Amino acid sequence: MKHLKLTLLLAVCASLSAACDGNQTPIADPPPTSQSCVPNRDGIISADEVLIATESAQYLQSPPSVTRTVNGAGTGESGARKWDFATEYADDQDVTVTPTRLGAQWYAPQFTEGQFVVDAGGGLDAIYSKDDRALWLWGTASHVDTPASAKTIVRYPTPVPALRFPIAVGNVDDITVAITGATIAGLPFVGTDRYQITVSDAGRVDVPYVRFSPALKVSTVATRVANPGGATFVRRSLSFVFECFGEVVHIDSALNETNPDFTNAALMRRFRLP
Amino acid sequence: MLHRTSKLASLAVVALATAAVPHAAQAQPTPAAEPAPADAAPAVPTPAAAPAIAPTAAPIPDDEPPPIPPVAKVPVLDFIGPSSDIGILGAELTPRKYAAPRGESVFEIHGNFRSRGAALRNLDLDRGLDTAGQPLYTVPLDGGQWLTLGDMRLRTDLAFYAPGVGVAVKARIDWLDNIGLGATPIAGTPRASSFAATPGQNGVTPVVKRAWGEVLLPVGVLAVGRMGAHFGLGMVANGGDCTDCNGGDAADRVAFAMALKGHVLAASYDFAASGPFTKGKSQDHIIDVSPTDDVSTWTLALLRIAVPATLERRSAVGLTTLQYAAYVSHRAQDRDIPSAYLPGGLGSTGAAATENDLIRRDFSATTFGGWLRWSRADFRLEAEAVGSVATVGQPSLVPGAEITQEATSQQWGFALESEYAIGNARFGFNTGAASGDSAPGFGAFPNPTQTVTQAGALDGPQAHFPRDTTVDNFRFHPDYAVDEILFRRIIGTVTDAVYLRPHAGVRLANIGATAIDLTGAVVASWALEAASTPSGASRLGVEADIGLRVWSRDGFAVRGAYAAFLPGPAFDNTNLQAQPAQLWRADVSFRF
Repeated sequence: MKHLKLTLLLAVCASLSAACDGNQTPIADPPPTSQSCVPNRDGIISADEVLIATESAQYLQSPPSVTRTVNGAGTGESGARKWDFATEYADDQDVTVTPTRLGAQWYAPQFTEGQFVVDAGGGLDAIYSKDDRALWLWGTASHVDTPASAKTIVRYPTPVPALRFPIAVGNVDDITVAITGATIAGLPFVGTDRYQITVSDAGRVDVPYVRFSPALKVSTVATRVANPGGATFVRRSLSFVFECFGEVVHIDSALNETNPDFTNAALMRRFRLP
Repeated sequence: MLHRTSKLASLAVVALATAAVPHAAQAQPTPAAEPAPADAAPAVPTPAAAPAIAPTAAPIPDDEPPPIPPVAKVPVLDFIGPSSDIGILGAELTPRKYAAPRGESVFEIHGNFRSRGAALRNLDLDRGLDTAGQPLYTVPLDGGQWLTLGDMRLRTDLAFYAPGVGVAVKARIDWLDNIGLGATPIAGTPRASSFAATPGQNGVTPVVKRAWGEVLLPVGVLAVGRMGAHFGLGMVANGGDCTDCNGGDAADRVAFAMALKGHVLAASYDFAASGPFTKGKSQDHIIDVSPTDDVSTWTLALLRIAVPATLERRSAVGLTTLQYAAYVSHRAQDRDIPSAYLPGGLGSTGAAATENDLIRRDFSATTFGGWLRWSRADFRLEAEAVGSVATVGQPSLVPGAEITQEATSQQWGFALESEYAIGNARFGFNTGAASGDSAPGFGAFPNPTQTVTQAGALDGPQAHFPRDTTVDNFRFHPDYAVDEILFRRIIGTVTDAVYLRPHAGVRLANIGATAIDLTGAVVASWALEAASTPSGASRLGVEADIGLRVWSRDGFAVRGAYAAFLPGPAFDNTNLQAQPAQLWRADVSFRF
């Protein structure tokens, strides 16, 4: 009864005194509406099935200078291939990748056609745009332009179709772009970048606690040649792409890897549950 | 997402089953008999008794006008009209009526019209937003403290009886289904004769909520169709038959009930979910193109219950009646087509489902429940308990992105009500609890597309893969209301909590066929898992509910109610202490 009396007393007091007072609770922003995309699992990824997420995506990533043994070739028959990247590693790092709108970055004026930026690792950003035809790579730039030795900016005269839509097994692109007026690590650079991109297979990809099926395997060989007569750098990478999720596994080889089915990964980044 | 496992409901079968027992009429108790629960069920309703009255199973809400009981008597009936209990299926198709079979088809109609209005003050508790950026309750757009609501519903329960005694077809149609007062104005036309005149309201579409058939067979009663689903107090399955109920469960069901050694044995099969569909060649019927993704529910129940007429007779001579029921229910789904119900999926695009949309689900849930009611003219003790275990083999809702861990669930809940009458007064003590989950948020109405619940959020999903694979909070049916503010509106239902509810009432006056009752209750509640509350403290608060009801035997009732909720530390914010919330409401109902 004590509680009852107290409740009634307070209630009456409150009702008499606070008829016109303001609410201490603000009106909330409407809950964020996530982009609607439901995989149809038809083995073909169209432009509208590659969402440029406004929310962060979480990944498990191998630490720098740690090599992971991978089987990028997979097991099973072509078309029903399985790639197992489900092993959990104690030293994996949680990383969050958030595409950001191009605009405030120091290099933004140099990429007027770019739309958004993704952290490419190594202190670099990759500048992209997307339309119905492809996900276009416009170049790379360092996060900061000072000190001068940290400044990198590579702008392609024509964008590279990192993923050409619709993404389907059999897609092949071999693009070479000339680089002029670039700066890498504070030094001027002239040369070429070549991208050999192949959508080579489809199948099931296992990451910790999640299986994606069908995911498409995208093999990329990026070759940078410094002119005149400079060094050549080759980086092989494998991406496994799934409808609505985008890249669920990314694997980079060591520099100048020659084996297309390399088994030692300098970087392995995998989708993880949030 | 876990399915709500406990909508099994079917169970209180009753009198119809006695049709197969030639001597069923002997079950009628005699005034001279000693208290003999065995006499209580199965029982056969007499023609004089209101047909199709729920035997027991619905709660006795404070706001419902039963026939005026004599002083010092606990009411037996809580509403008029067909309830959702299997127990009343075919209750009027009894052998007794073989003595006077219908010569022609007969149509009966029952129902009620209700209108409700309420003013809510500070149900967001003035404590700011939770960690999900949401208020605990809707905040008025003007930034003030007041919200209002008002709605109305015209409900009709129809019964068509074929000539003879053995066949009936029934339906429930809500002509105004919780339509807001003034919510459908005619706008944009010059119909109004002046600025001061209202152009009127647009018409609304009636809703057919149930339609089913019942037939009396030599061995029992068979019912087929979409029928109400209710059990016991309504804590798990609730037909929403009470005047103040909002939703209510209906099941597409095949049910059969028969008498068995003084009990009723009932079995039912529910078509809980099916589809997707395609049209047949003639375009006038549908075909389920994927039976493997259908959700089905089997239920088996054993009951010993008495129809209201029996209870009235026993009560009138001071006999005590014991009724009880128990059931086991199993619900399963092998595969699923989530793109049919996800935003942006087939429902949005209009595309036809393909084999690519079909994913593994491996869902199964088994529920055990029981109900008991011990009553006499001057007291009632009633309780319901439930336990449920469930597994979802593949919990992901995204086609092609399978989660390799299974989700599991172990839930339990109980509710107890008691009532004792002395003179013009009634006292009682109610209590109940629903199991909790250690995840943040209550998990009362989680968004199926949300993946993570942050600590400090009021609500959210209870599983968080891969670290948390359990969903252990049981949720009371929202129509089983134990208060006015906290559980009913702020949280949405009883879950992850225990409550104590002493209550009392007094008959202020009897004026002819009209009575005036004053009722009051105090509800104190705590969270079972402190981590579920916005602050991490377990004390939810104390609520006082007061009601004044004027009602007549003829079917009219008007009620005013006031409620105040003093929030406990569970709702405090880091820099704002939760403040009291209040509610005023007035209801009026007309029953026929």
